[in-house]
Amino acid sequence: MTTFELFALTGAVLFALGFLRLLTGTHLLRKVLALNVMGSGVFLILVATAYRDAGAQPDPVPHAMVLTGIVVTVSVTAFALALVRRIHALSGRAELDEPER
Amino acid sequence: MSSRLGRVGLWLIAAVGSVLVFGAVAGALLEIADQPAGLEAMVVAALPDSGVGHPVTGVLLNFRAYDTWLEVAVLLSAVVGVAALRAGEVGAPPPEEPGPVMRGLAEVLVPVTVVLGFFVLSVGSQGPGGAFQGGAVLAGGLVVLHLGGYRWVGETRPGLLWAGLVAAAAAFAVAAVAPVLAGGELLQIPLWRAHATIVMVEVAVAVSVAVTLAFVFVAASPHRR
Repeated sequence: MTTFELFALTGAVLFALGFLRLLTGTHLLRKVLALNVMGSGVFLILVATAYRDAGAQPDPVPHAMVLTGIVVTVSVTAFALALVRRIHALSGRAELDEPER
Repeated sequence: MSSRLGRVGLWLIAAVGSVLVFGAVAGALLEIADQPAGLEAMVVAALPDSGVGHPVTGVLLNFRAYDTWLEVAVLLSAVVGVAALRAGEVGAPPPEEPGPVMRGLAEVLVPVTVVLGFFVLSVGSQGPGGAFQGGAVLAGGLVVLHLGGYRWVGETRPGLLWAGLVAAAAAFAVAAVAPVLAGGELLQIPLWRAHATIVMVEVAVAVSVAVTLAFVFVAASPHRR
């Protein structure tokens, strides 16, 4: 398994795990965290694709995207958390309704 | 729908969906694995036209400056959203008094982050580093300052805070529109002032990233007053 495959597939696993919890989690905080895990998977994939020719200089274009992406993710997460706090302040809870068994 | 399917059904569908998503992503990645990686040869060839010596900075602030400009706008939108939500907030729990450890940590760490942040910012035009990385380090310093019980400029001077928050978007706007006024295209920065323009935009972006990240952190934590 090459370096690219190892990192890219790890990123794909993170993306899928985050997707799973995004769909199944009922607490809004958990959904925000799940989105973050998905985003980390995307960053890992992007960084890996920049380094497909092992040994050569990595592709700077995906690196530039990840760089801004991380900062954007932090601030968008903060906005999402502010929304969750607001929902909690107004309704007293931060969970979606549980599906009945 | 979910009430009929129930919890087990939801998990089952989500699990199958996640496996499918993984399969699609992994399949696509393995298919491109043996293809030559993208654009580094083009970037390296065009680097002398960018005004900087580091390929990532060249991509970020010249070749794909439009992209970076939009990302800076996203940062500003997040700040506006957080500020709007915070305005009506009531009943925040009382803040705890920071202990001597936090205070001491701030005294030791903040000067270090200031030096490190500006160093990372300044090496960006020639090596790994630059506005986003330096700004993130400075933001860490501001957060530690806040946690240590010190009031940073964002809490004492709202006007200055907003100037810092919009600095990056404004600098990008100037850099983008100036070539248009001279008869060129949007963001078509002539080589003779590319370096100076990029350094100006980088300083503004570093300031904005620092105060943006610190602001959203402070806004999300319990009110001190």
